[in-house]
Amino acid sequence: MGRTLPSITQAFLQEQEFFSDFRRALRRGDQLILDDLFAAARQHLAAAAFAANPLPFETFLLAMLLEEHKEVVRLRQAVTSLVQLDAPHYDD
Amino acid sequence: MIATRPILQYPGYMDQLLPPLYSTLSPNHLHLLIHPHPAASRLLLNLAASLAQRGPLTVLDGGNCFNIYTVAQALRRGGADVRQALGRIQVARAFTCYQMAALVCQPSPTCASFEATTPLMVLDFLNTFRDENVPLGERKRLLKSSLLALRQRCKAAPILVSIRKEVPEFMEMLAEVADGYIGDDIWRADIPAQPPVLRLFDE
Amino acid sequence: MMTELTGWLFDLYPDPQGGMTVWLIGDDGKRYCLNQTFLVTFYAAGPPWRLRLLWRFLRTQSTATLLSRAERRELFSGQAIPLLAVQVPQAEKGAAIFQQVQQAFPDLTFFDADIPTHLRYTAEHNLFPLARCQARLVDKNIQEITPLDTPWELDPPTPPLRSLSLEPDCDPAHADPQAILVRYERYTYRFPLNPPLPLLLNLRALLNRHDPDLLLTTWGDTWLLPLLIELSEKWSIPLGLNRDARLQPATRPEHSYFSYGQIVYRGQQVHLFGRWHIDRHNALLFDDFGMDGVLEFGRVTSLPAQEAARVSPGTGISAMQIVTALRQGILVPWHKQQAERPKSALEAMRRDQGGLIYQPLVGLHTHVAEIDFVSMYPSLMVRFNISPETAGENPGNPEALEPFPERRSPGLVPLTLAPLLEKRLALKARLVQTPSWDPRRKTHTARASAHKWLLVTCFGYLGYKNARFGRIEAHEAVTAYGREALLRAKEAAEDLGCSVLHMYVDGLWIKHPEWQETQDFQIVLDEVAARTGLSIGLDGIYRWVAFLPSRMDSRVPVANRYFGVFQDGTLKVRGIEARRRDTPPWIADTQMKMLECLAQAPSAEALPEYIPPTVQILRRALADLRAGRIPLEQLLVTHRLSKVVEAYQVSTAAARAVAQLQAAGKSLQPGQSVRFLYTRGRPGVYAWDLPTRPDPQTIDLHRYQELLLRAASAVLLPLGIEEKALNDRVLYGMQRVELPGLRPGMPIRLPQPAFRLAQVAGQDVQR
Repeated sequence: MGRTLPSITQAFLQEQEFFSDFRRALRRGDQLILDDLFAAARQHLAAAAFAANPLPFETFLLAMLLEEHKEVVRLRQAVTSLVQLDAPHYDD
Repeated sequence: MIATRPILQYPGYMDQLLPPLYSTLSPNHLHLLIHPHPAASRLLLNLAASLAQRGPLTVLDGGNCFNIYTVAQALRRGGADVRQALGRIQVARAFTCYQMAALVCQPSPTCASFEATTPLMVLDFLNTFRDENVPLGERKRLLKSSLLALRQRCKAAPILVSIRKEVPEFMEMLAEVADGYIGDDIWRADIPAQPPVLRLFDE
Repeated sequence: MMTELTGWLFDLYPDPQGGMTVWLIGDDGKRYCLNQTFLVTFYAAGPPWRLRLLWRFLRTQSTATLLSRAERRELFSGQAIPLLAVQVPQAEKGAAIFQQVQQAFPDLTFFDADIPTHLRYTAEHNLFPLARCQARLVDKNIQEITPLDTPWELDPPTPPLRSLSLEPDCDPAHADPQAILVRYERYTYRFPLNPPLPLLLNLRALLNRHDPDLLLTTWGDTWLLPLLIELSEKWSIPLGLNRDARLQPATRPEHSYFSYGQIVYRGQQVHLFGRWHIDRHNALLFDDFGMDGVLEFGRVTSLPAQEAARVSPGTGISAMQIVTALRQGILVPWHKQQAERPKSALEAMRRDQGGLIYQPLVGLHTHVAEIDFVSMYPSLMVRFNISPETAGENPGNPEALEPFPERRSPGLVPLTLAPLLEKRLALKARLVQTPSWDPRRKTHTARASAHKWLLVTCFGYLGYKNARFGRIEAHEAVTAYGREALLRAKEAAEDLGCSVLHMYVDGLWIKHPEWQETQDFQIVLDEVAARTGLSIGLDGIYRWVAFLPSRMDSRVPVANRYFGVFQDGTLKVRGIEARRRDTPPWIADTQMKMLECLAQAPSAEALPEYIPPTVQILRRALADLRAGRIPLEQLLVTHRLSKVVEAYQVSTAAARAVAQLQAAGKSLQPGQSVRFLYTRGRPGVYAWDLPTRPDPQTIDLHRYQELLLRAASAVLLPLGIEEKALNDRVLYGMQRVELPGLRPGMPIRLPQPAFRLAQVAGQDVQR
């Protein structure tokens, strides 16, 4: 008994499958980027399950955005420290 | 043998099935759908979504078929308020034939949706009756009382019973209950035959 | 004349002459075979006119029954219901009479029906296997029996048991044994199977002379005892396997059943009377915990030793619940289970979630603390009163971690589990204090394992469809409370400055930028305990731990697939080849050796130095393989059959191996394992249990090489070595060595989507 409803992973794969035609029609390079997005959403399946949203794709989209923004912040930090390193040193 | 209304087998017939099935769902009808093809599950879930848009619905799941995500998607496509509609569906699962019989025969007294006028869908009804750990005589007895209870209930509200895998010992009993009344429909959706593969060269 | 006897309860079964046969081992060392009157009772409920007919029906049966009206409390409704009580003095006939009644009156509801007689007896007299007790006797008849201890003693005095062991000189599945080896204390005897007469006579003499309490066999259930019984009948030489000569040994047939999504195969069984027969090969518990574990399992579940050795823990839990129910006067339902209450589709989805399983942050991490709730699910059940009759009606309040209200007393399940949980915790505490040289350590460890096994099962059993007291709502309530407890633990850890790397149902892996010692983390443990009301412990602090990604896609994290080294140097490994049952021993061993080599690194920073010797282990293993130095047994793949062979649609390697065995006349049931080797060409496999051994030249070396490299790359991937690079290096000797990620002072590398390395993974984003 129990755990009969489809798991969040199955729901995720179902959603991914739903977009397979879209993916197919993309250029190869864009396909890989799309795969990255889906992989990013996979980092947060547990939270998506906990959210118990009957339309889980909304939660997956939010997860993709979360990872995307995380990357932006990381890049921002990295760029900032690089720029500081190269900045000319004003002594006076 | 059960007299069944055959469904034309052509690609896309599943989608064609929905409107007629819905329109014939009316009280005093115990509809039986036999569908070995797994794709018909989606059809049933779409039907559940349709019904939920119009009012309350009770679903008894005997075979772990109720995929809420599929229903939610169908509701969204139909433009309905998904959460509100899902709130109108009452679901209960049965894992043994005893539980299925209990669900059908003794609806919970405190559950408002189990009112006589709420449409009922029983998914994969025979699945729990296939458990050979329960003696056949016992399973037949439980099936008989379940069928009688369903017969009683369908006087006030439409009932659709789906079966994925036929069980020879039980089909006679189903035929008896279904055939005894006028206007019952038994739909059979078989696996469509494969079109012949065209080859350019003979092996 | 009344006498008193003090001793231990040894064996128990219905007496052919009525009542129960009770075997006691007296303090004087003698084994006593006694009798006690005992009534088997079951109840019927239904319309009064049907009960009257049942009354009349029973009056016409040949077996005598005592009939009366009764009223008892039913668990789920909490109401007292009117019943017809049927009592059977001929305890042996109890089950048969019930069968007749049930078939004649299938519409009635029955209670306390098909309960094993030994459970009924122990419930009524508050006894359990090997309980110390005192009996008042008149001749051989027990007038009264009282327990002198409880199942929950940590160190109960046990009687010295005489044990005789029997085994054939080889595996009967493989070849025909030629002799039986018999061991008793210091003596070993070897009896050839042919001719059979001396074998039978010698065995009988030994059994007579030594009068063992326990026959410990290998393949005794499935081969040895059936053979001996057959020979004994054929040559008309009674062996005296039973101490109780009135009865024949009881044989139960083999069967396969479905359990928690897996098929389990149970071989045929031979049970004795007045003596215990335990088959090492057919005893689930014995392999892992030995006799101590079996006896402890029996002690806490009230199952007699021969049952305790053979049943699954689910049966143990069921026995405990039944005994508790009987003692509380709660009716035990027969088969009929509660159906699920209908709920809205949304609510159903929210509740049917299971434990919280977080995707880990893939990569290598250092100074990671693993904290685990102690026996989480059982603790939840006891602490929050989650039981079929309490959690069934209302969903409770998981968000507030409020206990379910008690109707009259704690629910049946908490009542059953509480003493077991208490004993587990007490024994664990005792074990921590027991030094490693103390001989009691082994016994304590075995007993603790029996407890753990039972507790781990009780949750699944709560939701099991055939469990008498199963209730899916209770099962779901437990997971809901568990999720809440885990989330609160996460919040507590994060509020104190930790980052959470991974969570798995009842455990968390956390790390703090400054903390490295055990005492540093105590504050988290205290905070979690305060916020949840549950006890949580520190499993250990890892010097380093690597969370592995999916084999298919290295961006996808996988739960429960990791390995790491604790600060004390011990390895913890989960989910990789070395821990999987089907892996050939050679691959598992090599992978473990590689891990052990890496484990020697005193710190994560030192790991790069340990990579070359680790790779060397891999190289040596491959060289051994190519040179044919690996014994064939080490290359065996073991696959457990999940269905009947015909049901396999795709011709998998295992299916082909089974087909080979079938062609040779050996059939396998679902749940049994098939062992095979990979061979070159078709069919690509060679089943191990075929009559002839395969030619070592036919082994598919390439396949095994591939499998080993895959296992090795699981170990080295977290250290930055990709599978392709590893293959190149090891197979083709390419010396290009680049070990990114662990050397300080390297230029900043922006993270690639392919694999996140140590410094980048797990870093909190700082604002």
